[in-house]
Amino acid sequence: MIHLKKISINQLICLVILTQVGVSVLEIPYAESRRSGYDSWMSILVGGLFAQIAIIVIYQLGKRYPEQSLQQYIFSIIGKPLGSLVNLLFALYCAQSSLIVVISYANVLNRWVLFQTPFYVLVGISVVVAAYIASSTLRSISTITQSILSMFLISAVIILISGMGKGDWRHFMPIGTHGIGAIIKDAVPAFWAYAGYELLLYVFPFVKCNKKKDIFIAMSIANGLTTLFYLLIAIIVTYNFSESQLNTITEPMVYILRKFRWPVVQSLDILFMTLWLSITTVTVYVYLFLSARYFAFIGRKEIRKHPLLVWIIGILCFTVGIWFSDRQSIFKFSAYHNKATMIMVAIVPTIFLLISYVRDKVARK
Amino acid sequence: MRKAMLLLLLLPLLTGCWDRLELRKLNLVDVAGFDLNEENGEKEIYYIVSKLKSTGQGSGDVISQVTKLKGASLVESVGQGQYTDQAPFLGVTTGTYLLSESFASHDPISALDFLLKTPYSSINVPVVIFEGDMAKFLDTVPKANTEFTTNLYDFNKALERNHILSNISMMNLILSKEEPFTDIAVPVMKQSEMGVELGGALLFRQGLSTETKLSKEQVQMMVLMQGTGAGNQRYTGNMPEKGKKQLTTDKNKQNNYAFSVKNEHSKIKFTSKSNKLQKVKVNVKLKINVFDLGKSFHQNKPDYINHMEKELSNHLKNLAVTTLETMQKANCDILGIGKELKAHHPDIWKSLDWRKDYPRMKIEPTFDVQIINSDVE
Repeated sequence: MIHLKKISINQLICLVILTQVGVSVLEIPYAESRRSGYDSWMSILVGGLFAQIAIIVIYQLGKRYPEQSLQQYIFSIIGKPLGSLVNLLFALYCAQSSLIVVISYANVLNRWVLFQTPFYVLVGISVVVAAYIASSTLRSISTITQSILSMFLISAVIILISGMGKGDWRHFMPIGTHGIGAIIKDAVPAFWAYAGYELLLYVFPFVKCNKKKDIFIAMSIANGLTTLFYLLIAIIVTYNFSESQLNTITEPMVYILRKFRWPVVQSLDILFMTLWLSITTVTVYVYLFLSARYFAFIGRKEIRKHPLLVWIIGILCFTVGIWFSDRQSIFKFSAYHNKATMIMVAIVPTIFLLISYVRDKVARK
Repeated sequence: MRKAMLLLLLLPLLTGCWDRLELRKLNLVDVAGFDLNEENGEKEIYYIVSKLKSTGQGSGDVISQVTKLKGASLVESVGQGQYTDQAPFLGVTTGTYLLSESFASHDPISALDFLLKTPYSSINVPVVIFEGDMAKFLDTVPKANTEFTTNLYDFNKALERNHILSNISMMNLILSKEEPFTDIAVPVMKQSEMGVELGGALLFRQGLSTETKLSKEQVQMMVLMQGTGAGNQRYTGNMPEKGKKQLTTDKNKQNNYAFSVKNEHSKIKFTSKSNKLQKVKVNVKLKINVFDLGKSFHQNKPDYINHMEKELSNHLKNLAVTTLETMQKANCDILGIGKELKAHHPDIWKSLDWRKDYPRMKIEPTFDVQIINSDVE
């Protein structure tokens, strides 16, 4: 029921881009400039490159089992008991990804736009909307995501317009003085911001294409566009704020939107944040969907009640989420989630790929 | 049914629900004035709220209401607003910030930086320093002149649009404290009958007032040296007689000039020897449209035009020298010489202790004026 219909290459690109971009847009390049300073735009580029390497690994893994998704071929790589455990870990990771996006953005809305509205209402509404969409098929999800792309484009235009005007290109000079070590170290937080492409672990067999290489090209295009988008934000922020100023502003994009003056629209930040809610919702429902799909494979038999699973995970996310109304706890949770991301989207697929290669060689001998 | 339920659930988010603000009940502030009572150290806020009385179809009489709040700190004064019916709804929303001279000279950023983190606070609107007794001014002028707040708003916009003086927004002012190499010049206004006029600009170094003011003439030179003087601004003045440095008191012998800048190019150049800075040159090239140049315009001969181009260049250079001296004395690098050095000459930059070296640095302005609207070939 869930994967009878395949998604097109264009839908895959939309899905990946909108899953990648999320709350981090408001913070880029604060975390990426802790060591690299005004050279943070280079860290963003290197982070995109790291993400591309992870995409190659995931693609190679998928190519070896073109008719199955990770949930199924994991059993061929590491056996039944361990495979179930990995599915459970991936399910928890995806649920956690949904949760972190929901609470982070609810916190942003609570601090800047709707600060009288109870936190549980913001979390609840985000989860309900996301769970409703995630309970449908992959094809429906992709179609909805394609529609939301227009919101993304409007938001990108708002960012571009508000970022222009008074600024100083000398904030970028002299280029590269922070050193290659600092730039690479700061590429790690940038790498976390690119997470989202790991959905390929699941969707690989459900993409309509002539050659499997088309999937890789589509993934690279999506990651390239996200990299360009993040790079644009880093450039806009560095153009507007010097390195010393950036040290005191954790959400630079909010301030760029707030400083914009236009008689027609006042408080562009509020308009942007409301529109951006739809973009973060994509990340939430994609991860909810994936979480339910991983949960479906933790037992001996596939659990075929997908909507039920989605709503159960949604309710769990809501129940846990309402306890994260203060920003400090979100920071702690986010630090833990970043480590989990590194393990689940980069290290684990690499290990599986290596095991799969070794098993293949041993079997041939 | 499922879709209807979802739509119902979405409705509260669309309306803002808990956070709805009824437009009629908002007290939208036109001007927020911040003052320091030097006797008791209290921070005072003046909110000028314009309301319509006897409203009809698209018309009504404007009345300005002034609300005064005070407290030990500025944020405390803002907080007092919730206990009065005239104060704004939240944070500080306004069209213009007016700072009194005493407020501006006592570390204003420390008092103002809460605005950055406060939702709905206006941080993109211009800040203006008021020269004179601001309390008395705000108590009388807005009530007598109902157009005052609109005029002030338009005047600020015109200063920016005509390239007379860049607006400094509240965010620019607050963040300038964090930036060691970006100094700013905040417009100074003073009372002129029932309104205000530009009195010059107050120089700020890293968020602190240097107590040094640039005159209107010096503001013009600053804008020209920054390379942003082209536009609608009219440059007017008098040149001294040939061979004299001082202006003559005899009006018949004065060389009046009036021009606008069509095109401008300003470049900062550095002369160095083994990475030690020797001299800074500010080269300004101007293409100007002249409206008055000493003699009646129809008498202008090619020789006279060439001669006056040189005279005007020299005159502007002399004005620029005094402007630069004022800036250097205040240790205020409005032209961004330090930023230029740091960005393009990092080796020279490393050899400098900027705040110590800048005031005694040799800075030489040069002006190359070309008149482009002369009738003679």
